Amino acid sequence: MEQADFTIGARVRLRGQNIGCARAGRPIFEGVTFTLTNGDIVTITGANGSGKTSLLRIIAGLLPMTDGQFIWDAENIPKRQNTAKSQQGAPLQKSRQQSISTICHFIAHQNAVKGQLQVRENLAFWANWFGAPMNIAKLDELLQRVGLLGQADILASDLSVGQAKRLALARLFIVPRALWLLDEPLAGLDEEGRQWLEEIARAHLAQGGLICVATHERLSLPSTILKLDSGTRDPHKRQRDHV
Amino acid sequence: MKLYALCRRDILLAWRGTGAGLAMGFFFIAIMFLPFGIGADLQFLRTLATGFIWVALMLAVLLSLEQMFQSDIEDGSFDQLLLGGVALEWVIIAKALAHWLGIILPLILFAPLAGLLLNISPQALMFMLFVLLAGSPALSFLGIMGAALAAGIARSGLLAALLVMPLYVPILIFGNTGLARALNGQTLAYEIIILLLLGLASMCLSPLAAAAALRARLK
Repeated sequence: MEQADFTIGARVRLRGQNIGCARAGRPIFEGVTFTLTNGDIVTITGANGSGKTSLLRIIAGLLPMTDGQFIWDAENIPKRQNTAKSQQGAPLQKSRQQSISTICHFIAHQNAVKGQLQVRENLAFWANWFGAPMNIAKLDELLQRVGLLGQADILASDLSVGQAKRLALARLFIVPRALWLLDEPLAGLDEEGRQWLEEIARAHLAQGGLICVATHERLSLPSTILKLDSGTRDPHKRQRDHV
Repeated sequence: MKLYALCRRDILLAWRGTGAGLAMGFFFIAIMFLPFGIGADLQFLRTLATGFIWVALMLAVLLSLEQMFQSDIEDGSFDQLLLGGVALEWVIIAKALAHWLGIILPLILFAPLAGLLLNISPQALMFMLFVLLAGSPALSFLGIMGAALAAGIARSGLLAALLVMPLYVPILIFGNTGLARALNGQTLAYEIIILLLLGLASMCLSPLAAAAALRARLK
């Protein structure tokens, strides 16, 4: 079986069709449809409890969906001049977890930062875990990039909320992955951090990356809005207006 | 490499956090209380010692089960572990191994000291070490099954302990008879073999069961 190419820059398209989600037996949303191609950013908005986080977790394969499907179209960028034909994406239905896990980064509301470990140790572990072991010099370079070099040797429990978020965001750069799933990435970040985040997001998109971001605050990036609007207040009236 | 990193991290967390210290403290406090509780009858103490060491060890291990998944789930690390491209079964094996190396092995290495406190003869301490070592892998691997089933629930530690307790009974029985026979100078071949078999069986089966339990939790 030929493996689809999901490295950054490869031409990919993610289509979510009629995605539905239920928590604890109650429908949260249904009929969510969207398309993402290279350089696209989708902003997921909606009231509290409208399922923004659930949708991101579904895309990451961390939560099963009750309805719908994802379709990845991937086209290998020809290394030489021959024009590769588009191939229907990876076999996501069979083992969604395994295949999607190597395509996306998920920056959740929780930072996955261990307070008992030093900042550098935290990052070193995730570097190992994502298959890109780093030496101290490389770790420090990455910490500099997210503005935490001065805190490299302190315990992560001593970080402020915003600093811990920066440490979580550092995972985005451990290995390049095409799809970034960001859940409230601005929470806790200061003005400078916010600009920095928009900058790295812009750079990622410029490289042909894809971003799904769930946020209340507007990013100053031109993005498609996907409004989740159903469920919590009136479960019988669900809209299907999504993009 | 990935699994080695996970194993190393879990051991580090056990020692920097409360996991290993709590288990160690509990084990020794229980051992030290026993002589005070039953008085100065040395012969009686020696009769009780083997069983009591096992019981104290198991309770200390049950106490440490909650930490296996709970903190990872709460701080989002567990999601990231799933995104690393490693099958859940391997994650569980690495975590069980880390639990054994980080928490149980130190307890066992200090167990001869506990044995001295309970009037076990120095010659028998070596046998005791062997029996405990043979029975201990099953404690980790059966324990992680309970921890996985209870993961994500409030007070998961208590539930995990209740679930795992019956599974520990065979280890307790064979471990204790093995230990008692060793202390009487008899051979202990068959108990050791049974303990090792229990360990091997749990190593093979419990990662599958624990992974299934955690996957079901995702739903």
